[in-house]
Amino acid sequence: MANCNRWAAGAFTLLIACASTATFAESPAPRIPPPAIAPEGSLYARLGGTTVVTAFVGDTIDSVAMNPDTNRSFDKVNLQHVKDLLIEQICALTGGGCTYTGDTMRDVHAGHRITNAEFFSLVEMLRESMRAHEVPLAARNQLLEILAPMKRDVVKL
Amino acid sequence: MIALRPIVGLVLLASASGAVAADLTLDIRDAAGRPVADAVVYAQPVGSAPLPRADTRATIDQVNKEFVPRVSIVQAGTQVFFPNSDNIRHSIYSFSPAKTFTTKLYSGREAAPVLFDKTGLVVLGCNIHDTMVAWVFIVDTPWFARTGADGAATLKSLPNGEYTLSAAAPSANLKPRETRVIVDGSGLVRFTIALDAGA
Repeated sequence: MANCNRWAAGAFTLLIACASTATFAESPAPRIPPPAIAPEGSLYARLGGTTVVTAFVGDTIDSVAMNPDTNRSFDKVNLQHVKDLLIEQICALTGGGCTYTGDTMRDVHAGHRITNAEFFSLVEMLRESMRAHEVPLAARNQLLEILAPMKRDVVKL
Repeated sequence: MIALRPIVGLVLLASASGAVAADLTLDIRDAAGRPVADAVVYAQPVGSAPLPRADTRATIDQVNKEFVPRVSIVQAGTQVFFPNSDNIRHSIYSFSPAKTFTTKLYSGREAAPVLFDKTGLVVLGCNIHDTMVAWVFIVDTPWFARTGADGAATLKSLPNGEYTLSAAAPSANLKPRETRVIVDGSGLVRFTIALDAGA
């Protein structure tokens, strides 16, 4: 064992054995991915399906997490985890065929004390991201209509 | 997991007074001689005599999206509580073989403790805050301690006898070490263990 040291300790010589190094944390198991082809006629399809939803959700979360007015509750948060679950939730709510596996919106936001201003800033960033990805107006409004009632499970908890 | 290799050394140590139990202080250093904080040391008696139990409860808190303490050492059979002082949601997980689990911590709700019943090293993470990490060393002995910022840790009231003494730190850059010690009422009560740099 060439890499094991020898040294004197009082009257005795000590040889210390070596052992292997520690195991480190692995990533959690992946979720079922959203569908490659959106169900025909669904709002999910009119939003642009997984490709477009992934793009505008990603942009929205990145914007929220970078903006000093809204990033307070995203400190140290795994943004990819948030994006994956938000895509999954939108997919589930708009007929995309997904099952939402995340926590309730109330549990997700409890303790963060999200303000009205933070909530409406996020909504504005979502609208802007959807516009940037050329989601049709009707589909944009329908999604916002579905998400709007969640405010009570997001703000001031 | 901590893989242990055969013992190749022996040192005699004990209390200067010759009493039946000794406090043994270890100074843990890295290869450059700097103190290693948050290292663990534990003494496993050689032989199969039944061991006394240390605390059966331990706490790992969540404070400002960090685990506190970052490194724990507990005896197998310990219930670990996660009180979540952050009062926002955390999602604690371990994929380590010694204890694989997930437990969700919600604002204002007390979570059930987790029983760590097998020896080994468990690495904890949080699904929501991926910078959070903690290490739990689970050992089969009540004689264990964690080093402070000065790199020192004291094993209290070691009865006379022969022990396998182990030192480890939660870093891929520091190799765990172990040696055999005899506590017999004469000799050292404090010495230094240097952890080699890892591969």
